Amino acid sequence: MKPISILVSLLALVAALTMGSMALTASEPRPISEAERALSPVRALVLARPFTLERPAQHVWRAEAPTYDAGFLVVLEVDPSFVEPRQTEEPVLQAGAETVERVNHGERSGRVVGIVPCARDAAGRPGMNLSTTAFFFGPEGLPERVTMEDARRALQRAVLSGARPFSGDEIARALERGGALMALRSRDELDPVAGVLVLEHSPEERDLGTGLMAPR
Amino acid sequence: MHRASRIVSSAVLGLALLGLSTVASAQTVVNATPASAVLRGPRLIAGLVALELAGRDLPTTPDFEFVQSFFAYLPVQAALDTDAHPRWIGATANVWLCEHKDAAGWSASPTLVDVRGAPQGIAFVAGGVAANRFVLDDGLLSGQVPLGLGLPLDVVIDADGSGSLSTGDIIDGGGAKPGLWLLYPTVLQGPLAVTEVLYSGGSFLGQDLYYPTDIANLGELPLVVISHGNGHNYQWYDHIGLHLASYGYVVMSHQNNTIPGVISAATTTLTNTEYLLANLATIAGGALAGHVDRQRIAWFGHSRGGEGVTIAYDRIVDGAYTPVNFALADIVFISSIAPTDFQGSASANPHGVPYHLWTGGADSDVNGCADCSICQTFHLHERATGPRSSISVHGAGHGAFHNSNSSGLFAAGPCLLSRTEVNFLVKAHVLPLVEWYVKGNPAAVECLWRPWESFKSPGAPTSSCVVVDYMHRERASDRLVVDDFQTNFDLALSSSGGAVSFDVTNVASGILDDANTTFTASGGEAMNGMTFSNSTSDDTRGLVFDWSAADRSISFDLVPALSDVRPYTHVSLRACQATRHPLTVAELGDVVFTIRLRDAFGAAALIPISVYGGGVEEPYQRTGCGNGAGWANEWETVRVPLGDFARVAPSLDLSSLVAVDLLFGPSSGSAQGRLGLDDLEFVRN
Repeated sequence: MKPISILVSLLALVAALTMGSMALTASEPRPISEAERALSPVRALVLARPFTLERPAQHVWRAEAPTYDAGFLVVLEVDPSFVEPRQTEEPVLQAGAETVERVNHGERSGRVVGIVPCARDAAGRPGMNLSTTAFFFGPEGLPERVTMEDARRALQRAVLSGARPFSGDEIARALERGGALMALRSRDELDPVAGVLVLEHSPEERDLGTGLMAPR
Repeated sequence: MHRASRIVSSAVLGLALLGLSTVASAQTVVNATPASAVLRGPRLIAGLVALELAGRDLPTTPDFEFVQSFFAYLPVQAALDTDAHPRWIGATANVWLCEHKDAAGWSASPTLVDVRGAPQGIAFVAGGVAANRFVLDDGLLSGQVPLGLGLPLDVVIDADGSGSLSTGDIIDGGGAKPGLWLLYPTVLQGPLAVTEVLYSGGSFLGQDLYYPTDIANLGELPLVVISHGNGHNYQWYDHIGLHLASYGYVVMSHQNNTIPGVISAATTTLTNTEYLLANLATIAGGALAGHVDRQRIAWFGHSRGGEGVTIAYDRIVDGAYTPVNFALADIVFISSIAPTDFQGSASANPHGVPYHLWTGGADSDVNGCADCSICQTFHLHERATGPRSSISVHGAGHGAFHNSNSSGLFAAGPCLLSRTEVNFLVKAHVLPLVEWYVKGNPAAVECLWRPWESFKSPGAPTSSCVVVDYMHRERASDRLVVDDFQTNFDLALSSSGGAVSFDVTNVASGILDDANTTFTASGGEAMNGMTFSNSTSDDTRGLVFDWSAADRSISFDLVPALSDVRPYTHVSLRACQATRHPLTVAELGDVVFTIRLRDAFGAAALIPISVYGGGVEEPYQRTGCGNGAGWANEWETVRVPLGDFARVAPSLDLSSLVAVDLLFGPSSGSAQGRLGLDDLEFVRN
């Protein structure tokens, strides 16, 4: 068994022991506790900034490759062992039942800049409710091969293993750090913003950050 | 054909077509009537003798190998076979090393001008090539040319001392091809200044562009596109970009969407190629407009990107993607560095495009172990149906092929190479690679298969840890296949239909795929260590066998259609040692054997493969992937010039061969060993 699989199994076991027979459903997870957070491969929501896109983009990080026109640019604190880049299969980062586009790797910083796609709400803002969304690493694989059904199953297993949404306070702080809604013309305009976040939160990946900010 | 007729090389045949005389008629052309010259056109010089002269010393019989490429700053030698041409015994003549001219060029301007400043006088004696070898250049000449690789030179023996190319003179070159190519060390930067520009056309359209600063005066240049791997960055290929651009290429390394997977990576290869070609008028201020040769595009990819480039090609072949700014035929070459194989043969497939593979023996990521089918780099190479080549480097890690020290080497095993060393190897090899496959430059091709032990660029790493093996296969029209093991699975029958007999032991043929998940040696596992095929759709087959402390052989009878090999230049095969096998462990060194050719008249000639530099390399002594030491079976191409057989046994008739014998055991090389064997053929280099 590979080390990462062992880790996932241990996490599941610890979570089960910690929470006893607490009833959980995939759709109604409770916020993560401090103790659970220490064990989680997704440890914190550092920053979140909502955005909308005038021209929809394609989310190739899921097999169906759906289009999206809104979402959150996030910075997550993660267990670095989960994001060590490999050419073979890697744990797939999810936000609820959606795969997350990882802008960087973060294996040294432990910080992952990600794009969480979603639909817009009635007000035209990103419709995802972060307070009910658990961030977690699903099974190893290629994100482009993960179907919506795969992602839902991964969410169910993650919740049963203890994955929880971040607390309201943490989300509020992350949104405050992130700043106001960005109304962008296209996905292209996210790159320079993401590049700045890579340089700030994962400075070891300087080439990536500066590359994202390359002149158009 | 009468057995007195002897092989002439393809170069000589080429000369014959151009109107120059061949070896076979050498004794008569000195006094040839002008009629032949008239027949061949008034521009040509009548009665020249076309012979191979340039080459290199060999430690034992056949004493000398005629080759076409030499690295500058190393000795260039020549030899005259006075056994074949005894009228030269006792003669003294000036030997000239001249700039290459074709037949028309020499006819128009026959005056000999030596690039060394003056010719050298040579007294020819009895004793064949062994007694008539001499140094043409002791490393004083530079091979640098304004654009590309290889300074073409002709060698002339001025029979009459006229100082002019004339009837009776011997010339090596002087036709479509020169007598030799002097290569500037391929490790070194080329002659052109380079401009690098970093820009982005949008999301996943970040590009790092390298081109000759003086591109405005260089016409249309080939385009090399680089697609990086997962966790890598498009700015980490300066060593390739700056290097190739300095030799006259446009190189673009792009942001590659590798984290989602190889399909996404393939998409970004396509979109970035399209973006560059569609925006030449504006990128870099329009410097490239009109200066990119859209019909000579090469795709390079690393790891997931290395698989991605083959997927991109397959998508065009399958019609799943229709390029806008280029066509399928414009992708003339694909090279994968340590590629993954997520998609299998239906999708990750180079089809018939010329293909090349780089494999690091110490790669701890795409590691090649038997338990990881997606980590076995050779699958893609074996799927390539056209010309193909590969380079394997012991001690090279996955991350050593890019140039960023901000990322690890991803290496495991003994004798690890530094990134600097591997980067030097990459530069040394990538230039001849694209020169041959993209430009069709014949100066480069010997760099793709001549043994590293005896032919490498000055400046290449020389540590004893640097072990390099090549595989190389020509296009089908330049190969005469004796046995590729893909048909006629009976051990007693070759794929070409000839009888096969043997007394080597533990013989098996089959798909070259390790049957379990380790490299642990096991008596019952014939194909242990083989990683050419995945377990489902790949079907590369080969032969395995062993011998121990006794002389053994395998004989391949040649069917009549294969008996005349004069149009070919070499007998060729590929072979590997069986990793962790007790006989491999006991030998633990290059395995050597002897190739024998037999003709219909009972003549035979045999040459040990070690004469040309090493033997079949021992496996990289890496542990893991089961018990024992030795990584995946490492195949390499072994070639022996047919002309050397003819020189060893002058009575051998290369127009009437009946068998190729492979001789093993104490009398023929290594006392023991277990080998894999495939692609026994005659080739035209």
